[in-house]
Amino acid sequence: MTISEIRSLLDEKKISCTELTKELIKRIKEKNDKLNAYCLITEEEALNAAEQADKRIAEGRVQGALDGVPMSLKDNICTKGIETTCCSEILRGWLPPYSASVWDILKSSGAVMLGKANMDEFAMGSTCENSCFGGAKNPYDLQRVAGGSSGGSASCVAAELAAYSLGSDTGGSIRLPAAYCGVVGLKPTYGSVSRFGLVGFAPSFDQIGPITVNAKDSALVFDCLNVQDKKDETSFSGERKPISSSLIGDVKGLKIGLSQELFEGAGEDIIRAVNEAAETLKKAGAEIVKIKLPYIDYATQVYCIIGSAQASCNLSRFDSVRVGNRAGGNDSSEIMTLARAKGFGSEVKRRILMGTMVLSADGRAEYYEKAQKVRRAITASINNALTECDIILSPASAQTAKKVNSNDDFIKEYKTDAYLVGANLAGVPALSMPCGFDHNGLPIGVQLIGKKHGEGELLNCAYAFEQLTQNAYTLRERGSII
Amino acid sequence: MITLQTTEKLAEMAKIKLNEEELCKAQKELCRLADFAEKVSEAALSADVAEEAPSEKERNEDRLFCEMNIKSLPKGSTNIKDGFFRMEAGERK
Repeated sequence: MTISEIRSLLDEKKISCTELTKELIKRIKEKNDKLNAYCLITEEEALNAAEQADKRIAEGRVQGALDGVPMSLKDNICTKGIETTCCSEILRGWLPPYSASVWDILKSSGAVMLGKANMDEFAMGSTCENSCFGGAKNPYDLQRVAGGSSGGSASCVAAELAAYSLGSDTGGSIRLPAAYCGVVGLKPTYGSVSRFGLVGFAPSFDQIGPITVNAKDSALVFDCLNVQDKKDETSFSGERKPISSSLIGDVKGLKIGLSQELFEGAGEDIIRAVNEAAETLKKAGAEIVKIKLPYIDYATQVYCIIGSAQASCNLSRFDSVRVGNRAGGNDSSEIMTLARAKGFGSEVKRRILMGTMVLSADGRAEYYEKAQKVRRAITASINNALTECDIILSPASAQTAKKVNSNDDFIKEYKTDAYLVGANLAGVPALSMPCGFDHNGLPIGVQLIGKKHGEGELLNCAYAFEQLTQNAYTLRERGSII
Repeated sequence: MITLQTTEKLAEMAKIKLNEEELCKAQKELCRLADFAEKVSEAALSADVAEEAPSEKERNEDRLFCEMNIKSLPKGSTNIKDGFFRMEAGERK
C-alpha cells in the first residue's frame, strides 16, 4: 500500500494504526526469515508509536501525511537507545546516545518505525551480501540479491513490509537496490537532507533519501525531510519548496538528455526498457536531446579513490576505544588492531587499506589529488549537460538483480554502480524508478538525474511516467509478490 | 608496484591485523586496485579543470570535509593526512 492509501484508511478510521502495525509486524515475522530485509524488529516501540498516532487521529491532531504510517530505517541511521549496527560485528549491540536528525524529524511527524533495515556493512557493497546478518533477498526472486547497500530498505518496501524506508546513497546505494526490487529510490541533492546521525561512509558523497512504492510517496517523504539542520554543516541554507502538492504529471516541453556513455555495457532488456521509457515520455510531449558526458567513464575510479580515502578516515574511530566492540589485547595498539581485525568484514578492510594507500605520502599526489581534479571535471560535465537539458535519463544498472553468492570479482562489483556514481560526485539529485521487466520477470530501473535542488522536476517526471504507464511497473497494482 | 612490505605497512597504519595468507591476498588486491585507479591519471592530464583553481564553493566544501574529519582527529592536526597518521601513530583527541 502507498502512503496516501494508508493515510486515507487511517483518516477514515477504516483501520487503526495499532491494527495496521500489528498486522505488519505479524507479516514481517512470517516473511523475514526468507527475506532478511530487517536486521532488527522494534515491535514494542512501533506499537507505542502506533498507540500515540491513534490518539492524535481520534483527537483530530494529525501531524501530516506521514503520521501513523509504518516505515523502516537503514541500520546506519542512529536511533537513540535502539541498536544501530551498520550490519557490522564491530557495532553489534551498540545503542547510540543520540538520534539522527532525520529520525527526530520523522518521529515528530508521527512515523511508526517497524525496525532497522539490513544493509551492506558500513554501506560498502552493491548486493547487500556484505552484512554480518547475511544478505537481504529480492522479493521478486529469493535466489537473487536485493542490491546494495540499502538492500533491506528496498526489499521491505517491495515486499510490503513497510510503507517506506530511508536509505543512504554514497555511490548508488539507494538507487541500485530500488532498481533491483522495482521500487522508487531518491538520492536528494547533497545538503538538502540532514546527514547528522548517519554513520558516514564518504561524507562528501553520502546522502539520506527515501525508498518508496511510487513517486508521490517519495515526494511526501522528501518534503518532510527537506529542512535545514544546523547540526549538519553542509545543510543547504537557501529556500526550500514543498513538491508533493505540485506533482502534475505534465512533461510537455521537458528536455530529456540521453548520453551514449551512460548506456555502455547495459544488457539488451535494459536498453530496450529504458529507451521505451524515453519514448513514452517523448509521446507525452517531452523533447529528447542527445548530450555528451566527457569524463563520466572515469567516475567509478574517482569514486573508488575518494570514497575509500574518506572511508578510511571515518572508520578510524571504530577502534574499540572510542567506539566499537573489544576483542581482547594487552596494550592500546593491540586492543585496536584485534578489535578491527575481528570486527570488520573483508570488503571494509579492503576499502580501508585502499584509503590508507591513497592518502599515504606517495599515494596522495598520485591518486587522491588527481581524483579530486577529475571529480571537478565530471561535475562540470554533468552541470554543463544539464544546461542543455532538464533531466538526464539512463539505465540505473547494466543488469538486473544477480543471483545470491555469485561472488563476482570485486573490481567488477565496483563497476556495478557505473551509471550511478556521477550524481554523487556532482552532488545533484537522482532517482531510480521501475520501467519494465527483463526476460526473467525481474524489475528494470531507469535513472533520472536532475539539476541541484531539482527534485520537484525529477519526481514530476517520474509521476508522469507512472500515470502514462498506468502504474504498470509499480507495486500498487501488483499486490504481494512473495 | 605495491610490495608485500608496503601492504604490511599499510595494514599496520590502518590498524588491521592480517595473517600471512590475508596479507598476500591484500597485496594482490591493492595492485589491482592501483591499476584500476591508474586510469584517473590519464584523465587528470587531459581534464579541462586540471590547471584551474577550485572555486570558492569547492574550497569551502573541501574545508568543511577536512574540518569534519579533523574534529575526530588528534588535537593540532592540520589536515586529514597529518591527523590520520598522527592518530594511527597512537595520538588521540
